[in-house]
Amino acid sequence: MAGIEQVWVFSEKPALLAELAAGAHGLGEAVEVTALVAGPRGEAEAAARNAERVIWLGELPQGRMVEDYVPTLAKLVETPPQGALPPDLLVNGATRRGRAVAGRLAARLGLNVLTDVLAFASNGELQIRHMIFGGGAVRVEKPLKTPVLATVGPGVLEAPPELTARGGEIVEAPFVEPEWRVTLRERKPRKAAAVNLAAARKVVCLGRGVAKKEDLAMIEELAKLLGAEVACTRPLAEGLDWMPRERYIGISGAAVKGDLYLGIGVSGQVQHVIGMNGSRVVAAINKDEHAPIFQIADYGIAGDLYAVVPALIQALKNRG
Amino acid sequence: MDFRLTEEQELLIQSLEELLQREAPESLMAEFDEKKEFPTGPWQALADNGILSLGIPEEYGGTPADIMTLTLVCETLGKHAFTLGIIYALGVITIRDILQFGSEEMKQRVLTGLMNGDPPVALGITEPQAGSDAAALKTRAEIDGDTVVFNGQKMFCTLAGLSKDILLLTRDPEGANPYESISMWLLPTDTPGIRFNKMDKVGWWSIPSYEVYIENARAPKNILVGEMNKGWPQLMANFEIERLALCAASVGAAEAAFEDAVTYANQRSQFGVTIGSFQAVQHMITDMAVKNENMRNFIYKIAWMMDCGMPVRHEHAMCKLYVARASFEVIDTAMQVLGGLGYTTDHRVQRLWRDIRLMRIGGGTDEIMYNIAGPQLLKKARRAA
Amino acid sequence: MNIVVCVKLTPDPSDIEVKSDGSISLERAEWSIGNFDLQAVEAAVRLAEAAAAAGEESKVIALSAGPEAIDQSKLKKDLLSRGPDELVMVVDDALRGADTAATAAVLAQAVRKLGPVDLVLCGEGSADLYFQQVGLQLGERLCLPTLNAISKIERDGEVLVVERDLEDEVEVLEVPLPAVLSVTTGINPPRLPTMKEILKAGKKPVRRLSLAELELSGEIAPQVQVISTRAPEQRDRKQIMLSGSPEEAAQKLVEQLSREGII
Repeated sequence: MAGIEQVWVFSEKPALLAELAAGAHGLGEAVEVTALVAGPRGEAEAAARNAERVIWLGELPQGRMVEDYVPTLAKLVETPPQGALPPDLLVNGATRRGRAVAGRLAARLGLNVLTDVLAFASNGELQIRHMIFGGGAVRVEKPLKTPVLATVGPGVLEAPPELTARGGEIVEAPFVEPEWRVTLRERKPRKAAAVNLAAARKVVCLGRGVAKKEDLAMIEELAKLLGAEVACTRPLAEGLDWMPRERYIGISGAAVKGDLYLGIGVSGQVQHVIGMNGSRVVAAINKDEHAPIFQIADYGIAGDLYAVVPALIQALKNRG
Repeated sequence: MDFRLTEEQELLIQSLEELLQREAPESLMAEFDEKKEFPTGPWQALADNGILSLGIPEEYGGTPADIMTLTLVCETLGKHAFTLGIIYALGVITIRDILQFGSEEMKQRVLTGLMNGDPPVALGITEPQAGSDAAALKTRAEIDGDTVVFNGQKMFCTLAGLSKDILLLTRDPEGANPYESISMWLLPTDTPGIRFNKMDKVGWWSIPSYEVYIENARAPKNILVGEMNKGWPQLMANFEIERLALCAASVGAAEAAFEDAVTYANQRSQFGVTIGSFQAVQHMITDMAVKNENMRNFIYKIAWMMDCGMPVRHEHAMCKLYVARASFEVIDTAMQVLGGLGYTTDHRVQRLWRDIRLMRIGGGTDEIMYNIAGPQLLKKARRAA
Repeated sequence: MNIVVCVKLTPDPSDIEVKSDGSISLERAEWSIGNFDLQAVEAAVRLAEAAAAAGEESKVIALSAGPEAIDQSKLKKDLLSRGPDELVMVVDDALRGADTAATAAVLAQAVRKLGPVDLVLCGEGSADLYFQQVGLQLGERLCLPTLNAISKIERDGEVLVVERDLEDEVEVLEVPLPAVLSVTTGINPPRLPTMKEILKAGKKPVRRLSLAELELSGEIAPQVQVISTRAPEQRDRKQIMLSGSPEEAAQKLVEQLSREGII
């Protein structure tokens, strides 16, 4: 990719950081990756496997949050440490913290952020692709200023297959004290079991056709037999309150692109379809033979889910 | 002539539609109908969001609204949750009678209750021998010192078993002129001596109607609404707006049925094409649209006339006559378009079909509407001559 | 308590038209208030109501920036019927398609012109683009404590105690005022406008600001060029309907899934 040589990557999640660092090498032959690590020294050393250089921001002291490193990061971009070159592209992992860091960093540097990038491309110059209009459209944009700030989620950047361990040098960076701090009073575990729909290989999704909360048990049994995660469409997640928001597929929810999407009582409206159309195999059960979902399904059953789902459960059990 | 709604009216309808989608989705309303249960949750949601406060004066905590706004509310309710539209419309006459003729204490109690989500006050006029001939009612009220004793029987008294009060019409058997012998009372339904017997109907399953047996039920005589023997003109004062409200809800239901029919005609395929491609279906759809347009224009015109203070004596009767029939025809045609599916309980059109049929009978039969309008129209022509 | 809530007015993305060549048009879309922004409005109004109940003078100012098309009478009334006391709009066609940096710069300057502000609230993201950036960038430009993913806000004297919804955990944080917070969906369902509020809306003050009045210099020059906006590519789906009784259809599905290597 012409023009992209210095790629800096940052994420508070070590696994995502590793993927971004390795994957960034796929952006061009001449790419040199600098990983920014806030955490224990061991994480900096792990990151060094995938990057030509690691800038270690130090371990997070008690009461500090990752976002407190924004002033430090801004200074590093403007004045890279000894031996480092300023970034052409700075990639933040697309987590909530990652977005916060990217946004605040952008504002300090007077820059824009290209968010939730689905793909980087080059027609001689850097371009990115991402979804807008609630998944109703894909937009290609070209940044006009450098450095380019972008947020990227898992499964986007792919490391070139021949990439060997980078063994980057580790450089320390002095902490720049932020102008303001918030006080952490408490950390609470998430109420819902952590589910990562974006990484799920198989998903069973329930829609409005599932009339009662009590029917969830039946759907959960089916999902278990298939080895699938349970998800739902927006009206259930946000209106009827049966399932936590992380299980919602659609515009502002997860997008699933695994092997199987099985929609049960899902009509297939655009806002939802976008979230699941990347799945390899789409199957649907809906009593309305004209439900739009059957247009984008590989296999469809027009029937009463209250009869078909138990039959499916039985058929799966019979297989052994 | 500007036929557009004001922005405020559009925003109100938008807000109400969103409320109904949230709190009264079709699946829920179908469930209430199937279980023959009053839609308590959705009705409460209407109360909580100020819909039931519309048209009630500010001094009682309400929001003044003109008749056009109330018409739009009834139409919107009718379209998205016909059951709620009917219940709302049924309350119009009793609330207005109390507002116009009731004591302060009555107003405070009933209006606050309504705005808090109480079912509307029931209307007790009809009796086994007194339907269209309402003045033939026989329920008696005998004054005994500071109390009044009631004896009699009411029929088709909708919501009576759920309401806190009945607006009860009684007649003095000694009075020479029936229209000057009728009195109106606000009788609490938990008064000892009152017994309810639910009547099974073909439709309106969530809106129960009762036979009400009243035997020596005693109440303080201050439950009189308005003046003794003035009950009939008091009752007539708000029958017009009541009928308009029922019409508006009916028009909404017809619009819902129309949308269902059009959606289906565009989706259902037979003989290799969508059934909407057949001329026969196109004619049916067009007929439905023409009737809906006519009905809408009629109810809006009546609402406008009433807001201008113009008399609508025969006009409102013509409106009810037309809307009761046309809305039934529209919904019946929708069922025809939907075919077998329309006849099953899977689809709402059968519920609309069962519910709409009463409109030609309740609130004044078609025949009574003719009786009101016919002579008036001829009289008008004679005066002009 | 003086609260500013930023609201983006956009063509409704559910009204997109896909043309035959795959390009997207929003020309016939009706403009609406972003649904995520409505949640922020509700959060602002609730905080102001609580402060007023405790005897503090409180005000909610809704702030929006965009092209001429946002200045629509019904849209303004809709927004004001949901609780804000005033509406301030920065209107200029130069703001059509403004990127996050430009939007944040404009809003920051507008906030500075509004006098003393205790709190600025933003939605999670806009209804049309959903980049989830402007609130964060706005806060940083104002040099105020700024956080995203806020799912709960409570007042505790001079600070706010908030809950921040992260992927693995919920942080309970103490945020000094003034601050800029981006709230998540689920923080509170937006109230539905009542007739009373709809009628009052038309009488609330609305102020228009021009870009010139904001004295911005070069900060809104575009940093991004849009190359194309197209409908997502459709995958060819098999569209095989499995017929028969529920048992037969279910069996067929199991066989197909097996053949596809799913089970």
